[in-house]
Order: sequence, then structure tokens, then C-alpha cells
Amino acid sequence: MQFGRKLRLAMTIGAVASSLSLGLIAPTISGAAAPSGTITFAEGPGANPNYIFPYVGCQFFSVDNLNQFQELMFRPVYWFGLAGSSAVQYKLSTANAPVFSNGNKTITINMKGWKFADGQTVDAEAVMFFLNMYKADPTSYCGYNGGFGIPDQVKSASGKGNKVTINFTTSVNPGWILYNYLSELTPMPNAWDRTSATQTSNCASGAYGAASTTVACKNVEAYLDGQSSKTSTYTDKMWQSGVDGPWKLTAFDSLGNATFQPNSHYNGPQKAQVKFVKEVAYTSTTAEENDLQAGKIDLGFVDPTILTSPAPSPGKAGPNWGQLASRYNIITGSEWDFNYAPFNFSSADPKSAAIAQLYIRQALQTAVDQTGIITNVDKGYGFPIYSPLPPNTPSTISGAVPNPYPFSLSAAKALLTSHGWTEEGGVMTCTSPGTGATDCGANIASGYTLNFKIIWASGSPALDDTFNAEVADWAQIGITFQTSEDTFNNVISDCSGGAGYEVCSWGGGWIYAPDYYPSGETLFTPTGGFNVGSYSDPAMTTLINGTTFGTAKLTAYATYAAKQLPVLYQPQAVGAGEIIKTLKSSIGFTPNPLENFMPEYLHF
Amino acid sequence: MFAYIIRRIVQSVFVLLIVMLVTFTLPYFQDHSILGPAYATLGTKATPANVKIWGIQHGMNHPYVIRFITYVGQVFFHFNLGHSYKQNMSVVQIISLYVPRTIWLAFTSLMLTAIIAIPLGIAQASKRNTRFDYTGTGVAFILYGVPAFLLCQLALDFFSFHFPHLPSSPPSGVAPWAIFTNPIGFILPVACLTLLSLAFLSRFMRGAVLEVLVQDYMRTAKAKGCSNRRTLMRHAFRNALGPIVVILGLSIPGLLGGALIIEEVFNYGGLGIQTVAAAQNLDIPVILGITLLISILTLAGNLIADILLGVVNPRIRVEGTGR
Amino acid sequence: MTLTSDPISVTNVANSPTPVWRQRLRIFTHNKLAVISVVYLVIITAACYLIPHIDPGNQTNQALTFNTKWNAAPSLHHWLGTDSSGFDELGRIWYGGEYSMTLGFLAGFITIVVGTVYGMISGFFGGIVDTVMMRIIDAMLSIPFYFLLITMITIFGRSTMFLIIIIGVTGWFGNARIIRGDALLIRKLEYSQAATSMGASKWHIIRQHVFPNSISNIVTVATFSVADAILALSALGFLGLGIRAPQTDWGTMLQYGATQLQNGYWWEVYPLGAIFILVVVAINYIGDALRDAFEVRLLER
Repeated sequence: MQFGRKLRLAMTIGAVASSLSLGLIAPTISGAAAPSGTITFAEGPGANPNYIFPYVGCQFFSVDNLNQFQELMFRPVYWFGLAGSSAVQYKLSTANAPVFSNGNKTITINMKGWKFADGQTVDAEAVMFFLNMYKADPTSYCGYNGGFGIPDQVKSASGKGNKVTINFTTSVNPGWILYNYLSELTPMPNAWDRTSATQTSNCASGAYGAASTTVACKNVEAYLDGQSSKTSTYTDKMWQSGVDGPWKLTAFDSLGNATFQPNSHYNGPQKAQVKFVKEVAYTSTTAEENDLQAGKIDLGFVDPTILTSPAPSPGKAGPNWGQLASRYNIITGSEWDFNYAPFNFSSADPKSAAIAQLYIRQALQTAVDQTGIITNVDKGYGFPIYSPLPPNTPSTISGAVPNPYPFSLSAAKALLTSHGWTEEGGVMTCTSPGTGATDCGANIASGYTLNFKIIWASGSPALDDTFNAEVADWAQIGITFQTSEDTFNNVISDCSGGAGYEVCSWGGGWIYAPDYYPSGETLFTPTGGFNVGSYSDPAMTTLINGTTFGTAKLTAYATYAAKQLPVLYQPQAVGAGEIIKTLKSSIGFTPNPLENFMPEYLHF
Repeated sequence: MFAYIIRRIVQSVFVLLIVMLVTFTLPYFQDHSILGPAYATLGTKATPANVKIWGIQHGMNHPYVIRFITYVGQVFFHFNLGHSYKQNMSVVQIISLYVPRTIWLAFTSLMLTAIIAIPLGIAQASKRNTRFDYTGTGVAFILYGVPAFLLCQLALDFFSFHFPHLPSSPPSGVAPWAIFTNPIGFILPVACLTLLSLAFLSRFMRGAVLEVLVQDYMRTAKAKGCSNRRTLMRHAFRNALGPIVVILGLSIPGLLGGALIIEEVFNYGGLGIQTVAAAQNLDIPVILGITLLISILTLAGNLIADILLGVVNPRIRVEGTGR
Repeated sequence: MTLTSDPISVTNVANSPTPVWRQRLRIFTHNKLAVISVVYLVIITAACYLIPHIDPGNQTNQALTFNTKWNAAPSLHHWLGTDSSGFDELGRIWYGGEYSMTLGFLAGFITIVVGTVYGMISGFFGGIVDTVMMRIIDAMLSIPFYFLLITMITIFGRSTMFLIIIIGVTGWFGNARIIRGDALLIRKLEYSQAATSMGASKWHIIRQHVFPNSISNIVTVATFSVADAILALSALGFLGLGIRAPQTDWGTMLQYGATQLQNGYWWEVYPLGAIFILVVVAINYIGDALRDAFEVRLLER
């Protein structure tokens, strides 16, 4: 009896010891051994991939189509974002760093000569394919910004061997052109240069800007767009022969469930380490959270509002949700965007005279309790925003921008009372009209009241809570707001004219993608494509031009924008990710600001 | 009989046109331009020029009447329901993908409901005003009073996270027959949908049988000495069958409406979720297509019910339009 | 859809002597559950309409809640704890109740008024008018109620007034059909045919005979309509389309509470859940009891 027990004990110890030693040597083996295991990744609620063609229009331009689907297979010329960084990663790019010459008027791109899955070299012609298509039909690509960059400022472009040369009509800021335009180029294989299953074309080889190339490219684009609308073709030979990334798609269904397997021809530094990556579609966050509790997902997310304890500070995750704590680690990080609510500067607006006054905008901004909102509404998962720069902007493109208007209700109120406003029945009323230093300002008559209208997008409880808190605080300083809400699309048009709203928000701010460079030519110049509040300030335009066509860093522009308040800066809520504890990564689990999904770094 | 059927079919087409007119016209009441869907689809990255081009591509520059006539023509003569604005699929594709999923869910629940509710209603009616009847009525009332989403979420909390650990969602994937290959995942959603429609049908059944019971010929039958049970089966059930056929046909929209909430809670991609998403994105072709399809299903259900009733009871045919 | 399912008979109420009413009241009060329901409903309604005005507390100031702990367990200060935004749960129940009740009653009122007028016209005029009007009802009933509701709210927005109108406007089709069936029967009854032969105008007959005779049915249907409207509003709350924050309604509160269920914050779901369900059950019981009271064949027994 005793003997038997001893023997069993010894065997148990032996078993533990051998598994320990296996565990110790495992890392060295796993590099050489065939990949094994399956990583299950949860897609965002209702955000399932549904477009495979990289030349993508705005209706399909989304993180779930690009960063978490196409880019696993089709690598752009320049890769942005790795771990917690949003910067360019030349190691992961299919080309070496671009060379600027001729007074920043010419760019030379040297391709590394990686291979597509069908053996074709990822060379200059593959890049010219994209450039030719961009030139032929620019409005079909969501990154197009009329008058700027590629293709509108391109004088000529040509490719030979592994070398692409692009000549611009003016000097361009290297950072700006790299972040905004070179980032968009995706090499495409000759296998895609066709107008039907059997008929090939010459969009890739045609001369840049030639009429024949334009015709060819438009036909090719129409065919590929048509194929992309048939999800059953996604795993076909044609699409998969264009794979130059670490993963190829092996199964896909119309609900958006996708299965990837390693691409054995991938030439990049990090090869896939697991056998399958599965992306699972979800219809709601709750449903996804239920699956997390059942342990069905390896990489998922939770809505921070369900967490029982808040995050300690921006960018740091708090304690995990009790239900998941034993199995998952919680992570959070910044995103490459900034949140704001445009002011309506349009002279058609009845209260435009008040909005035109900096001190009134300043009072409104000073009364926004960003920290309070982040702590109480976003449960600590958010970043305060004081300028148009995203949180954690790399110092290579901009220096630090301090917060010029820290939260203070008394300071906000003092701004108004010192400018000739008196609170009457809870509303600030102008009692000292005029343009002097202590007067209300131009076009503001005696008796003018600070009662505004605000509109925000419906459908988000957190957004409701945020603005209700702000409106309550603004009432404290004597600026009353009539609130209303509308669908996302209507909110955008409401703030651009005489609809009578002084402040509006669609809840998302501005995401710097595919134009990664956080410069303001789209947002804050009079001709900008998305200048919702009709903001116009020559000094601002000059600073912006310096960052796009000159060589200036973004610091001066961002500091000026922080002080001038072309928009009302709003706290930026971020999500919380859940990573199963058995998963390992050589680059850590800090979420990428661009929301890239790079499973090749993951293994069990 | 043949003329009656033809007349009913013509009326159904007329009804269908009304449905199309209503659903097609509703979006025109937006307080902003009809380009609303363009902004909703293209998002903040689209330039005004993009929006304009998109609008022209989708025929939004044509006047309302032309667009409506085109739409009706496409539907009736080409069976073309258009292309989704937001999803990369035609509406027919979307429907053929999600309809089977929702139908399986709804149909299974409908069958279960009928199997439970019909005997329950008969039993309650025959034991009117007993403790059994009161209990049944009480349960039905409470089930009827619970908001559908609350019932689902409570069921989910109890049975998925606390005791038996039933799966919180049916298996993902497109196969509509998953209900056979992986039935455990469907237990909670089907049970919830059944409970939700149970109250209504059992109450209806009880009422229908009661109606027959108080009628004269039942008293006669009883007076003739028929046993209680035989009376019930032979007369009451058969006479109450008519209303049941009608109510089952009529319950299709309600059932699919209920399925909407079930799908939302249990993460089951179906028609309901598609409709909610389409409404939020102003994906008008999808809203139109799904509404049209459900209307056709309902009308077909009604039509079949009416024809069946007409066969059974010729009096209805003579009375004509009334139901 | 309502639970209306028991046989509904038609009686000549207008010409009945007073004792019938008393008899009906007796039948109604005889139904203990119905009486309890009335008492319960009166108490809850009173609480919802009075408490928020007598003891307002902080119900809408989101900035003030930054000083309160969210999801706090019940305590002496907050009898039912606080909700996920930091509002006092008990206070919010009465505050949200005011909205749910008001919307329910007003929307229910719209459904019954529109449904009655439409049904009366259709049933009384008959013929081609009736056919066309009923086919329109067929069309609207074949569109799932929630689909129509969601689409309309997306298009028209969800201000309190629009919510009332939209729930009202999308909910009357079934009522119209019931009332129309009634009107059809009454029209065929001898006395209205007699009135017609005596040269009375159609409107006169509707006013003098059809409407009074279907009043019992209208009252019953109206009761169920209110319950349905309250339920519809709660479903909208679940879909995030209920009353706009910082105001609230019961459905929205229940939805927020239900998402917190797994954290064990029972005070955000169960007390309100019980109150809500019992309100709907009570209204339905009252409707049921009313119908029994109007049911002539029961009177005979």
C-alpha cells in the first residue's frame, strides 16, 4: 500500500518535470516547428468585413475591412503602426524608406522585391497599377482629397524594375506625403489586371495619366469591384494570388466570419506562428461579452461601462471585469483620432456673433469637465483632448502641446462677466455692448443672450451622458443650451449652415486614416473637404500650409489650434480589449492606435 | 370558388402596392435632403462631391414618382429588389441569407407554441373558473406583461451564466440547418420566443373554445348526452379551428417582430437584426426589401387561411370581403 | 395585438335601464383581482406623478452625478441604490414612470381614437369604401409593428411628442379592425335598419346607434391599447430609441439595468421589473374584467 503510493507520487513528479522541461525549450522549437493552434478574434459589433478589394470607396472604408481584414493579406507599400506606436515601420513595408529630392518635389520608392503568392515580384509595376487606377478614377477611393497630394499634385509618375518615381508640381512636406498618401498605396498583382475571368488588361503596365490607361483602369476597377461584391469569390485563386502579407484567406462567409491560414511565401520578418486565425462576427457587444465569459474567444473586447471598477488614468486599464478576470487580461490604449464638436461659424447662424468671439468659445471649453466625463461616463477609459493632435502623437511629427484652458467653472464665468455679460434669470445677457476689451464684442447688442442650441448623434448612451453633463455645467456659467439629437448624417449637415445649431457632434470626432498625418487642411481651411463649421482664419491656413507644403512640424499649428478653438475639444473614449491569458506575443499586447490586427506576432 | 380565389389574389396585390407605397414614401419625410442615405453610407470621409456622385449613381436625382414607378417595375417584372447601400450585397442576397435563419427560429417556435398553447387553451376553457384556469390565466398575463428583452436577458442570466450553462448564442455561421446539427445552442432563443407567443395564443384558444361552448348547439349536444370530452373534441375544437388558422396566419409579423429582439439578445444574425441595422444606416433598399418580403409571407398566410376557410365554410365566400 | 380574445357580444347598452350598469359594477367589483389591480394602478400612478414633484432630488443633472458613486448598493441615503449613471434608482423609477405612463396613456388614446373613427366609417359604409379601407389595414398589419416603429423613429427622431405620435400612429390598425367588425354587426341589427328606413342620415346612425353600442368594446380595447403602448415604449428603450437622456423611461432603465445583471446589481432590475410587469398585468386584468362586466351572456347567468 505504502509502496504503491510512493510510486504514484514519483510518477506524478516525473510528469510535472517533463512538462516543465518541455515548456522551457518550447520557444526555441516553435520557431522551426510547423505553426499550430487557432486564434479566435472577435470582430466589432455589426462591423464585419465585406469588401476585399484594396481600392476601397468610403462606404467600405473601415477598420474592419482594412486594418483587420485586407491588410492581413495585402500589404501596403508603407506599413504604419506596431504595438503601441502609430509610426511608419520600414521593416514591415514592401519598400525601403522613400527618398526625397529636387527640393522635396520628387520621391523615389525602392521596392524590396517581395513576392506575391503566385510568384510575381512585388515591384514597381504593382505599385503603378494602384497609382494608375488612382489617377483614372480618384473619387472612388476614400482617401482622395481634391487638390492635394496624390493624384492631384502629381506631375508625372513612372515605374521600372523595383523603382517608382513620382514628381510633384510643388514641394511637399515629406512627413505629410508619407503619412497621408504613400501610406495608401497598395501593390496589386498582374493577376488582378483583368476585365473578366478570361480577359486581361493593361492598367498596370500603361503609362501614367494616358487616356488609354484611364479607360483600361476604369474597366478593371469595375470588374474587381463587382467581384468584391460576391463574397463567395474571396477565397478564389484570383484574389488570393495577390497575397503578399503573412496570411491568406481560406474561408469566408457572408456574415463576415473569416478564417486565415499562414502564407508560406511571405517575405516579411515575422512569419505566422499559429495554424488558423478565425475572425468571428458579432451583432452586439453583449453577445460578444457572453462568448468571452464562455471562453470562446482569444482576443475580444468589453464595453468599459460594464466594468465594476474604473481605470486609474488615461491609457491604463483598471481591474478586469470579475467574470473574466480568471481567464483574460484587460488592455487599453490610445487611438489615432481626436474627438471634437464643431462650432457653427456660418454667418447664417443666428448666434454667429457670439461664436465668433474667442472668449465665449474659451468659456465654453473651460467649462467642459473632460476628466470628470472620462472618469464618470467612460469609466476611466478615455483621453482628454486639447488640440487636433491624437493622444500619444510621436515627437517626430509634433512637439508637446499644453492644455491652454484647464477646467474651471469660476474661470469660465469670469471670462463672461469681464466681457460685459451679466447673469439675468440664469442666462448671461450682454449689458456692455461694444468692441472694447471689457465689452461683449462686435455685432452683439445690449440684451443679447447666451442661449444656444446643440445637437448630437442619437444612439449612444455615453454620448448622451457626456453632453448632458456639459450642458449642465454650461448652465452653471450662464450659457443655456437647448438640446436635440438626430441621426448621424443629419447632424453633419445641421452644423454647416443656418439650421440654428451652435454646437454639434456626431460622436466620433476625426479619425486620421487613411490620411494618417494629423494636419488640418481638411478640417480647418476654408476650402477643406470636411470643414463642417465653416471655420476660416488666415493665420490658421498659413500654419497649415507650412505643415503640408513646407517642412514645418505640427507643433505650431497644433498649439495655435488649441488656443483658437476652431472646434470644441471633447474627451475621447477608448475601448477595452480582452486577451486570453494563454496567448503570448513578442511585441506585447498594447493595442495599436491604428487598430491593426497582426496575429503573426501571436502564439500560444 | 375559383373566382373567389382570383379576387383575393387581386386584392393581395393591391395590398402589396399599398405596403410598397408606404415603405417607399416614408424616407421622403426626413427633415433633410433625400441625400441623407448618402451621408449615412459614406461617413465623414466623403467629400460633398463624393456624396453628389453617389446620389446620382443611386438615382436620387430623379423625382419621387419616377423612382417609385421604377422600383415597382423592377420588383414586379425583374424580381430585382436593388442593392444594399451599406452592405456589399444585393437585397435578394441578403434576404436569401437571413430569411432561412429567421424562418427556422420563428417556425420552430410557432410549432412549439401551437403544440403547447392549443391544448392548454382547450383545457382552460373546459375547466373555466377553476384554480387551473386562474393559474393559466395568471401565467399568461405575466408573460404578456414582461417586456420581451427583459425575459430574454433574465433567461440568459439564469440559464447561461448560473445553473445549466446553456450556450448564450446559437452557433455562428451561415448554415440555416444549424438548428439540427447543434440544437443545444437554440434552446434558449427558441424557448424565449415560444414563451413570448404562448400567452397570446393560449388566451386566444381559450376564448375561441369558450365562444363555441356557449353556443346553442353545444348545449344541445350536451343535452343529447354526449360526454364532455367528446363534445369538446368533436364540436368545440373543430369549430374553433377556423379562428386558429386565421390567427396563425396573422401572427407571422408579430412573430418576426419578436424574433427581432431574440436575435438581438442572442446574437443570431437574422432578418430582425438586419432591419434594425438598415434602419439605423438608412439602408433603404434593405428596409424596403425585407418589409415587402414579410408582407408577402403574411398575405400568403392570410390567403391560404381564407381559402381553407372558404372550402370548409362556403358561407364566407358568399359574404364576400369580410373577415 | 392585444390579449382580447374572449367572445365579445353586442348589446343594446344605450337603451338599457340603469340597473345594468350597477349590475356590471357589481360583476367588476366581484372580481377581486381586478379591484386589486385598480388599487395598485392608482397607487403607482399617484407615486409617479406626485413623488418627482414633491421630492425632486437630482433626476436630470448629469454633472451633479459626478459626485455620486455609480452602481452603489442600496443604503439609507439611496433606498434602491444608484444606477449606472449615478442617479438615485428609486427616484428615477418614479421619474421614468411619469414618462412611461404619460406616453402609454396618450399613445393608447391616439390608437383608440383613430382606430374607432376609421373602423366605424369602414364598417358602417361597407361596400367599396370598406373593402379599400380594410385592404389598407391589411397592408399595415402585414408590416411587423416593430419594423415600422423603428423606421419611423429613425426618420422622424425621438422627441417625446414624436414618440407619442409614432407609437399611436403605428398601433391603431388592429383596433380599427375590431371596431369595424362591431360596426358591421350593429349596422345589420334591426334598430339601425329601422332608423335607416325612417330616413335617418348615416352620420346620425353612427352617432346615435353604432357608437353607443360599441362603447363597451371601445373601452375594453382602449385598456389593452394602453398596456400595449407601454410595452412598445419599453421595447424602444431596449433598442436605445426610448425617451432621450437625461430624461428616462422604464424600458430604457430596464435595459441599462439588464446589462448590469451579471455584475449582481439586482436593484437596477428586479424592483423596477416587478413594478413594470405588474402595471401591465394590472391594466390587462382591468381590461379583462371590464369585458366580463360588459359580457351580456354572463349577466344572464
